Amino acid sequence: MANAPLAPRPQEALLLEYVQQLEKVKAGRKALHLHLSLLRPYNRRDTHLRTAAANFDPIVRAANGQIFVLRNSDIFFCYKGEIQSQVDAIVQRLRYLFGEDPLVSEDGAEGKEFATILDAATQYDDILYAARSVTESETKRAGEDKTRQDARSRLKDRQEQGEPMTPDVLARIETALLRADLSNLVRRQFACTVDEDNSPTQIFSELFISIKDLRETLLPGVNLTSNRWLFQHLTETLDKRMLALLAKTDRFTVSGDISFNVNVRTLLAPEFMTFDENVSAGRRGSLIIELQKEDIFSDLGTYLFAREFLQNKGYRVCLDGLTFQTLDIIDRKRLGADMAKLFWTPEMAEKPDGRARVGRLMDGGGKTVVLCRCDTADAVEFGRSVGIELYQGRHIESLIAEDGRRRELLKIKRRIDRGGEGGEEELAPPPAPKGKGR
Amino acid sequence: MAERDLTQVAGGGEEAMLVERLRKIADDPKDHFAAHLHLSRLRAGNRQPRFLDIAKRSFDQLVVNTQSTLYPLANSDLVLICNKVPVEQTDEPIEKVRGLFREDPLMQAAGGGMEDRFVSWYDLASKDDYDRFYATSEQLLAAAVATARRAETVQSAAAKGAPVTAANLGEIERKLKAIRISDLIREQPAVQIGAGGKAALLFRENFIAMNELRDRIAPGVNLFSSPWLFQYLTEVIDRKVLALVAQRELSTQPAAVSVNLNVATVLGRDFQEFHQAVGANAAKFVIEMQIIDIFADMNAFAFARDGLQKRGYRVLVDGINPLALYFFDPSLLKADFIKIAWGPEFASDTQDSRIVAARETVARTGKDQVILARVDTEQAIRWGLNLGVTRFQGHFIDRLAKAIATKTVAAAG
Repeated sequence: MANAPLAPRPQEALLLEYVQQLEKVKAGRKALHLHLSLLRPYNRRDTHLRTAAANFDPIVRAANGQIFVLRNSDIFFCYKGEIQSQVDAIVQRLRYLFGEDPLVSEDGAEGKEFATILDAATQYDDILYAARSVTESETKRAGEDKTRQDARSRLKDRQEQGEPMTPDVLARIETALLRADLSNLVRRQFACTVDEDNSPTQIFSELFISIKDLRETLLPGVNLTSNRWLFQHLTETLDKRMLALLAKTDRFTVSGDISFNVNVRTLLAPEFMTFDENVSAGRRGSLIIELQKEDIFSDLGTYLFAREFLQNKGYRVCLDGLTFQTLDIIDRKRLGADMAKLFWTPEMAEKPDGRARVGRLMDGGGKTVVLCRCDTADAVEFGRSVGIELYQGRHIESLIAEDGRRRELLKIKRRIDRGGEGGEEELAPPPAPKGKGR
Repeated sequence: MAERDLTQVAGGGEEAMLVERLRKIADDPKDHFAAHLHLSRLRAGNRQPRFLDIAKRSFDQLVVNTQSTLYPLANSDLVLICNKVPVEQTDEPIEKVRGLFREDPLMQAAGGGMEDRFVSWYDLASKDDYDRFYATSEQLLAAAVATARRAETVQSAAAKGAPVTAANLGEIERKLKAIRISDLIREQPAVQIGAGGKAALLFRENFIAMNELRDRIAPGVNLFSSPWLFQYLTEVIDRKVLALVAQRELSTQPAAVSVNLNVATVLGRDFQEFHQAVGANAAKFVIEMQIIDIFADMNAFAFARDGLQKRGYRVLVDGINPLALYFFDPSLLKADFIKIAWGPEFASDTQDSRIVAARETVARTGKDQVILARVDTEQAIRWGLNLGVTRFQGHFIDRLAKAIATKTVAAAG
């Protein structure tokens, strides 16, 4: 994703500036407003927007137009009237591309307009108004920066502004990693069951190295994830460091069942053998090894061998990275993993066949599937409706925090209640895991 | 895949020790027995050194705690010689190894109970067994020495070289960007075989001759040592190939052409430019994308696929090995073609559940959509036909395609 055509500077401001200058040369100029912000969220990911914007490249290069890709995903394209047919062709192509989105399929209905074309000569005020309103809403949005779901995509935006990952940067990072102490970069996130009253019970926790913090520590300003393949290579290095950390239990104590991600290739490396030798046989049963689906299919023979090896030794294997798009395609049962992780996306609940498709995955029982990346309560609600029992994600973390506070309050209340009796004994059960995976 | 262990240049070391040991036992063979584990009968893909290392480790405990010796042989077999060891004690490690390779047809055959092709047992106290095993060991020694000699001569040529690392990747990329690659583009036809063995050309795959590219940009480096870093380099290659193919005169070119691209390339600026140049001839292009790339971001793939198909290109999913057909359903990827890469190790799969699954997949995908590639022998074609496949690509097909071309030219003239 290194060749992102989206400029990081505030496009809204540039657009307004451009439109203000347009006033002097209105004749023959037009503006196209693509309302991509009205597309369904899953149709306006970075790749979609980048592809849409790239369609205008040839015209821009021929100096026949100027493109503005806005923060809300809308695109403004100002051009000379003589290339109208080219612009029409692009709009037609994009309509086709997003053909399955209600915005296009129900085009013309109330509030659903895919593209608007304005003529500067006769509709200049409308163009100015549109440019002003996007600028204003962007300023406003920037003000209330802390809101809602957008946070993740904004974080991503910000990361993408950093120096892109290149082989040379990767080499620098790998050298720096040799000396770095990663133990303070290890984070944990819990996988929990969630009761009807939204109280979570921790079943196991995933340990991972925080990429964001790693970046801050080693090379601030570099976007480690900007190239998928270089990042994947970096994870192999991180795997080995993680294994070393996990083996050193004196420095790194973790209670309960834990899971962690590794590459399939790492499992056959000497580092894993050393790790395995240092882990007591009894502890293996509490360790879950997470493997990514693309990694599995890049060398299936090795996966099958490694899975057998791990399971023989008593580890559990988790198929990671299933998405709504991949869950039908991959035969989870035949892959023989003990567990699977499915990434939550709202389309699971929105699509008419969503429930049925996710439901089919539940063959092995509710406790073998973890719905992760649960950012909102909707995720848990959906999961319940299809029989999923385990959840992971920011929403779950906040439930845990809330639950902790509730218990804390309860403790204080009891202490106050009993205060009169002068009791000093243990008052409430600690918020420890209620149960374990096995 | 299977890398040769470079340390075993002399050859036959373990085999020689085994024969020596048997000679010593000859005087007092009481309480001795041998187990010969025929790992050499596993498929090539399962005989990787790292797999064999793990298999060997299964015997560590036994060897430490009892009077047992393990001989890891050059052909991947393992021989275990035990003295005064209850035979049941060897069950656990042997079963462990069997479990490790459970997916291999060798183990599946062993399940039948008739004959265990995986382990042979010899009671060395019995003169008969001893003689048979001694003879076997001598044969193994002779074979190991011969193989080592042969390996020595080819090794220098076949040396895979140093791995690609983050440290040398930058330099490789810079060279790659700078050099000309137009002369490294090779073509291979994919054909459809109709009733009566008549063949028709489907398209010609255009690809880069990797060995020659390697010699040009990174002599002595194994570009395939990391799947991820290799994939990174292919993104650079994509851009160069697109620019080259876009310059071609297409109106006169009769057959369709396929090119390999990353999903990210298809969604990027370079492909937009390519489309500007060749869009009118989109139907003449087949875009091949790798399964590893597709699985990494299915959303991006679906978007790229839809965009391509709507603009008239055809989409091909590449990089599927026959084993994978049992574990995922490529028909759901909604590509115009899927390409299965054949290898001789799959010839032994003849009737188990895997074949049934593969046949079902071919039927579900549509036999006109499935191409069997890397077809080097007639055996491969028979294997494909058995699954219902009628479209093929590979060295064996190249000869066939040449014949078609000659015939076409003759007909035209």
